[in-house]
Amino acid sequence: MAPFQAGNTPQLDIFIRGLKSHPLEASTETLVSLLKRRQISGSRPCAIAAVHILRQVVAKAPYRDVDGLIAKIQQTGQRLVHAQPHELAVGNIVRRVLGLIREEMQEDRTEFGGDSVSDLQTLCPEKEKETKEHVVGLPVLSRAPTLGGWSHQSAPFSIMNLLSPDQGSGAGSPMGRSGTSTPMLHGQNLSINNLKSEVLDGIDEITDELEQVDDQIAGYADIQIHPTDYILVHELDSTTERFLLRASRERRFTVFIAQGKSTTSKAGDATPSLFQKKLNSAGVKTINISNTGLAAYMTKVDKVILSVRGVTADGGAVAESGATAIAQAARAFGKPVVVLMGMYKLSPESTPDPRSLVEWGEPESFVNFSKGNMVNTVEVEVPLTEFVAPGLVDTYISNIGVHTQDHLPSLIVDHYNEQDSDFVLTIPA
Amino acid sequence: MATETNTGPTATPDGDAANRDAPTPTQTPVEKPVDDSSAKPEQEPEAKQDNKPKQKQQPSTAEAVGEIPGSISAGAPGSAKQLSNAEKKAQQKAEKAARRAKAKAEAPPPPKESPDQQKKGGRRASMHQGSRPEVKSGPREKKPVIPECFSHLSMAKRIPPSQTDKDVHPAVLALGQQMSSFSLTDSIGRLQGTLLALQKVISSYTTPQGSSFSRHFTPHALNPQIDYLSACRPMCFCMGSAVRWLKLKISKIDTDADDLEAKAVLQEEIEEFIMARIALADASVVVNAAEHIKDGDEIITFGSHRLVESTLIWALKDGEGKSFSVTVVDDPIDKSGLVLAEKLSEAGIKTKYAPSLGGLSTHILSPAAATSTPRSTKVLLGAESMFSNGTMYGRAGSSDVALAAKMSGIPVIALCHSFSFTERAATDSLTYNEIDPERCTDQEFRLLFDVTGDITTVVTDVGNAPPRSAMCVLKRWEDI
Amino acid sequence: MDSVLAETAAPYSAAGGGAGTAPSTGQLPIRPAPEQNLAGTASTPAAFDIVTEYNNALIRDPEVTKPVAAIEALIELLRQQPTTTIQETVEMIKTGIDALKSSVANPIPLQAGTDLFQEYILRCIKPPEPSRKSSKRGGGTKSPPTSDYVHQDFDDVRLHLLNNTYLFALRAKEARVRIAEIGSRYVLDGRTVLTHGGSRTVSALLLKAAKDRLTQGGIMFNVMYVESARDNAEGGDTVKKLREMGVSVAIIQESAVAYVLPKADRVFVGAETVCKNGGIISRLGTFQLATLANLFNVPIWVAAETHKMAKVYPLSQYDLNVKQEIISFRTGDDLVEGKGELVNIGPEQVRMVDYTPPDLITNLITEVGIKLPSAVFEHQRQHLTAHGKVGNFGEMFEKSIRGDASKKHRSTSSVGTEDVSPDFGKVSANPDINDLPSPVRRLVQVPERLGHHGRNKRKGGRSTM
Repeated sequence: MAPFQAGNTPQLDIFIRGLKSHPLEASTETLVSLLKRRQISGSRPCAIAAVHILRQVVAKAPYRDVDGLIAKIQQTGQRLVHAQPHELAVGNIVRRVLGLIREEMQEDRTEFGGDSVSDLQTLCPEKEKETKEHVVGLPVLSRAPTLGGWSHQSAPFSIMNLLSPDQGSGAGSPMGRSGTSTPMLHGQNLSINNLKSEVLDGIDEITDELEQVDDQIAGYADIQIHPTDYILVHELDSTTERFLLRASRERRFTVFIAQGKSTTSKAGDATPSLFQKKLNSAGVKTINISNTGLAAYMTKVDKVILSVRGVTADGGAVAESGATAIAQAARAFGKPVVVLMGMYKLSPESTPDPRSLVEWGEPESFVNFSKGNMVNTVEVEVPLTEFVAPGLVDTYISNIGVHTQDHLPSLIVDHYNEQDSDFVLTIPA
Repeated sequence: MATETNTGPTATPDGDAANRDAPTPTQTPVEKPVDDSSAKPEQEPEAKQDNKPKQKQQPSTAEAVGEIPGSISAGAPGSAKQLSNAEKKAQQKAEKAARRAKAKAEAPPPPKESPDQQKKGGRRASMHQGSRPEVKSGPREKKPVIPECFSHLSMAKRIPPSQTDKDVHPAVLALGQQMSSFSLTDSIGRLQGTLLALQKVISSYTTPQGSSFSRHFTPHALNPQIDYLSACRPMCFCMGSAVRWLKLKISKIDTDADDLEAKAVLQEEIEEFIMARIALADASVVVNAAEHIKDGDEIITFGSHRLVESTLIWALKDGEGKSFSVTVVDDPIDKSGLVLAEKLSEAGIKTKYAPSLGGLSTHILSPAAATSTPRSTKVLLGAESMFSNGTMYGRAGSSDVALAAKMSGIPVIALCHSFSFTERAATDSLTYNEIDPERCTDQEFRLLFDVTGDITTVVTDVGNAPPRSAMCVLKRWEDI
Repeated sequence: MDSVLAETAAPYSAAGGGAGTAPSTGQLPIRPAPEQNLAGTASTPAAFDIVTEYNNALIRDPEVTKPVAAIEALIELLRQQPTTTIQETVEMIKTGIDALKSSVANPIPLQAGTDLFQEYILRCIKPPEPSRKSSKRGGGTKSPPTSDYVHQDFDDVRLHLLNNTYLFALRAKEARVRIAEIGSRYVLDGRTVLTHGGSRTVSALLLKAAKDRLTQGGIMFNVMYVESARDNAEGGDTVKKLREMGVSVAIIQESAVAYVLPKADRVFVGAETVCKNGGIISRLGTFQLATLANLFNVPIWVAAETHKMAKVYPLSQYDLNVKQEIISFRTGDDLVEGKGELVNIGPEQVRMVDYTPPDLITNLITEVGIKLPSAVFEHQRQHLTAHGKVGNFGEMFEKSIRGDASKKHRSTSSVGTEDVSPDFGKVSANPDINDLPSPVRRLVQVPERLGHHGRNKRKGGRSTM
C-alpha cells in the first residue's frame, strides 16, 4: 500500500534538494531508481518528482528547437513512466509539460498570423496540417497494446468533417500527428529562449497546482458533506484527509473509515492518527471499520468517498483494492460515490483491458505460508489496486470543480494536447 | 436412537437416501461439541450441590417466553417488554459482576485472550447506567466504544467464572466461556453444544418437593442457563428456536410425571433433535448442495463454513468424484478461509485463495485473461440464518460477495439448515447484528454479520428453496 | 397509412407545381405545406429526379451509407439545376430534401446527411460575424444582407461541393476504417463479443480485429452473431469472412439473446442514426439487446460515423416519425376483408428500426474517437454556437418554431419577402423578438426594463428568459 502523506516523503525532499547541484542525467537516474524501488510512490509525490525533473530537462538539457525539446521531454518521460508503470500521474505530468510546450509553440504561431486550431479544422480552406514525420532522435515507438484509444476523445468532433474542404485525408487522423510539429515553425525564427522561459513558467504553475490541489478540492467539502451525514471513506490520502478536515470546520458528521491496513492488522493494534484526533477535536466522529466488506454499513452511509490513485479518461478509477466492492455496494444501495481527484490524476488515456492497470502484491506478505504445501498447491492472488468501473462513480471532484463522467473529455481537452495522447505507456501485462 | 424412524418429516426422500451414504459430514460436527463437554464432568458434583439454592431464586423473569433473553432480538420492537425484564436481570448481574470485579481487582484473567475483553460488551449496562462499569474496569482495559448508531446491536461479553450466577451449571459455564471467547463460533455448533449441556442440566436436576418438573424446571433450572449463555454471547437464531422448542416439550410433560420419567422423555427428545435436526440435516444439506456442483465448475466461497467445506469435499470424494476448482475469498481478519483453502487443497481440490475482497469483481468473478471462460460459475455461501423475507444472514462480507456475484450474473447458493430459518425479517444488516467484541474500540469497529438479498437459491436439509419461499421452509419445521 | 404505398411509389418531381402536391399525402410533420408551395417557385428542370438519384447512389455503391447517398443526391441536384440566386438554391435544396424524406418510410438516416448538407451550406453562405450583425441591425428585418458577398462566397462553396463528391464518399468510407481501427482494440484477446447483425461498421471493426490478430498475433476472439429471421442474409458475408480468418462465430437467434448475453464480454452494434441526445436509431431489436445488456452489465458499444448524427431527439420509441407498422392488431374480420395485409413500403421498409436511449449505451465509437453518448449533444451545440450563437432563447423555441420554420425569418412586417438567411428549421443567431412568428411572439413577455432589447410592444409581463 502506497504511503499517503500530507507532506513530501524524505526521499522526495532529498531528491528535490539535490536537483540543482547534480547534473541532469544523474538526477534522472536517481529519480528512476527511486521510482523503481518505490521509495517515491503515491500519485502526488510521483507527480511532484516528475514535474521537478522535467523542469530540469527544460532548463538544462541541450536542444536547438522546439522539436528537440519535445523529444527530450518524451525521452525522460518514457523512463519515468516505465520506472513506475502503474502510476498514471507520472505520464499525466509528462503530457501536461508536453502540452505546455505545444501551447507556447501555438501561441507563437498565432502571433505570426495563423488561426486557432478549431477554426483551422473547420473553416479555413487552405491548409494541409498533417505531416507525418516523427521527432528526430526519438525512435518510432510501437503502440502500446494496453493504454490508448480513448485518447482520441480529445480529437475534434466536428460534424463538418465530412464536407469541409480542409481535410486532406478524411476524418483527421490524430495518430498520424503524434509527436510532430508544424513545419511552418522551422522557418519562423522562433525564439527558443523565449519559449523556454514561458515553458518554465508554465511548469512552475503545475508545481503550484500540485501544492494547492488538496486545498482546492477541500473547498468543495462543505457542499458535499452535510450536517449529520455519515460519510464512508475508503483509504485515506492527503486529499481525502484535507477534504474531511475542511468539512469539519463547518459540519458535524460521522466518518466511517475503511482502510486495508485496519482489516489486516491485529486487534488492538490501531492507534489514532493525528488526522483522526484533529477530526475528533473538531467534533467529527470517526469510526474505523475493520470489515472487509462494507455492504453491511451501506444503509447507514450517506455518501462514499473513494481515494484513488488515478482516473482514466473514461472515468474508471484506479483505487486501492476493495474499492470496487464498496462502489458496487453503494450502487446497490443507491448511495452516491465521490472520487476526489487532483487534475494530475486524470489520465487522458483509457484502456480496453483495465486489468493492465492493476498492481499485484506479493502473496507472502499477506499469507503466512506456515504450512509448506500451501505454497505449492494454492494459488494466491493479491491485487494491491483495483479498477473501479466508470459507471460506479457518480461524482468526480477535482481542483477545478465538480464533474461527472460526461465532463471528463472536456477536462482532458483543456489539460492535454491531443498530440501527446500517443505518448506511450507500455505497461507490462 | 430408536427414534430414528421419526425423522421422516425432517428429511426429504433425497435426504434420507443421502443420510445413509453420507457419514463423513455428519460426524464432524457432532464430535466437536462432545469433545468440548468431555472436560466438564469433573465439575458436575459441584453442580449438583448448586442445585438446591436454585429453589430460593426468584422466578426467572425470562419465564417461558421462548424469546431469547438479551439476544440479538433486542432491536425487535415486539419483544421489547419481555426483554426489558430479562435485561434488568442481566443488568443486575452486570452490576453485581462489576462490584465483584472491583472487590477482587486481582481476579485472575480468563483463560484465553487478552484481559481487556473482560469488560467489553457491557452495552446494556452502559445504556442504563452510564459508564459506571467502564469506570470501574481496570486501567489496563481498553474501554469498549460502541458508536451511537450501532448502540442497538449486541455484543458478546466475557463473564469471569467468579461472577456467574450460582445456578449456572458447570457444563453451561464452560460452554458460555467457549462462546464468549469465540472458540465455538458457528451457529449449529453452538446449538448442539447448548443442547448437550442442557441434557446435563436436566440429568442433574431434581424437582423440589411440592412442585412438578414441568412447572419448576423451566423458570428455576433452565432460564438461568439461558440467561447466562445469552449474556456470554447473544444467542443465534437457531439456539433461540431450540430453547423455545425445549420449553414447549417441557410444558407438555404431564404434571404428574415423576422426575425420572420426565427426564427420560426430555433426554430422548433432545437426542432425537440432535440426530434429526443437526446430524442428519447436516448430511442432507451437504448432499443437496453437492448436487449443484457440476464438472468443470469454478466455485467461489467466502471465509469458511462447515457446510461449505463438507459439501465441497463430499462433491469431490464421496459423491461422484466431480472435478471442479474452488477460490476461497477470505476475510482478512478472521482468516478462516485460509484454513479452508488448506483443507481443500489437501483433499485434492484445485484451490485458489484471495486474502480479501480486493479484485473480486474485477478478477475472480470475471473471465480469466484472454479467454471467455469464466473464472467462476457459482458462489457457495454458508448462511448463519435465513430470514423469513428471503434475505440471508451470514458472515460479514457475504453480502458483498453475493452482490458482486449477482452483478456478474453468477448464481449464489446459500447453505442453511431449515432449523436456522427464522420468522424474523431483515432487509438491512443493521437490524440484527453482532459487534465483534475484540474490535470495538475508538480505533476499531467491526460487525460480525451482514444481510443480503442477492441469493439465488437456499439449499436446506429439506431440499432447495427459492429465498423468497423461506417462510415455507420455516413452517415446515414448525409443523413438526 | 394505407396510402403510404402510393406515396412512395410516386417519385417526387420538382418540376412545375408538383412540389406542392406530390408528398402532400405524407404530410411530413416537420415540413409544413406552405413551405413547399414557396419551394415551388424555384425553377427546376423536370428531367432530374432526386429520389432516383438517391436510390441510384445506394445501388451504385453498396458500401455507401444513407446520409452520404443523400448528400450525393443533393450535390447532384446542385449540379443539374444551376440557380441564379442563393435564395433559389436554398429553396431548391429544401424541396429536394423534402422529396427525399417523403420517398422513404424512415427518413431519419438520410436526414443526418441532409442536416449535414444544410448546416454546411448555411455555414458557408453565412457572412462573417461582423457583417452579419450589421446586416441585421442595419437592414432591419426586411432587407437581405449584401447578397453579392454571400453569393460570390457561395459560388465557391458550390464549386467545392460539385468537384468533391467523390471525396465525401471517400471520407465516409475512411471514417468507417478509422472506427474499425479504434474499435478493434476493444475486442480483447480470447474474449467473446456479441453483435447484432447487419452493421457494416461493426463488420469492418470485427474484421480489422481479426486481421490484426492474424498479422500481429494474439489469441483470436469469438463472435456471437445475432441474426433475426427477417434479414438473415445480411451477416452471411461477414460471418463467412470472419470464419475464414479463424474467428469462431456462433449464429444466435434473436430470441436467444438473453440466453447468451452473460457469456459476452462486450456488445458492438451499429446505428442508422445517432440522435442528438446520444441515443441511436438502429435495426429493430437493438433496443431489446441494449436493455438486456444493461441488465447483465455487459457494456454496449455503438460504432457509428459522425455523419450519422442527425438532429432528431426522440423521447421514446413512438416518437420517431418513421413509417413502420410493428404493432398491428388484427381481428378475424380484418383478415377476411383483406385489410390485414402487411403494408409493403418498398425496399426501405425491410429494415424496421427502434430507438435506444443514451443511458443504455456505454460508448460510441466514432472516427474521431470513443465518445460518451453525452458528447453528441455537446458537440452539436458547440457546433451551433460556433457559427450561429444559438442562445438559450433559441433553444427554448426551437421545438415550437420547427413546425413553422420557414416563416421565422419572414417577420410579420415583411411577409412574402424571403430573408436570405436560409433557415432550415433552426433558430437563427441572436434571435430578435420581431423575427419570431407572431404566435410565438405572443408568448414572450419582456419586462419593461428589458424593453430596449426586446423591442416588444408588450409590457410588464414576466420575463421568460
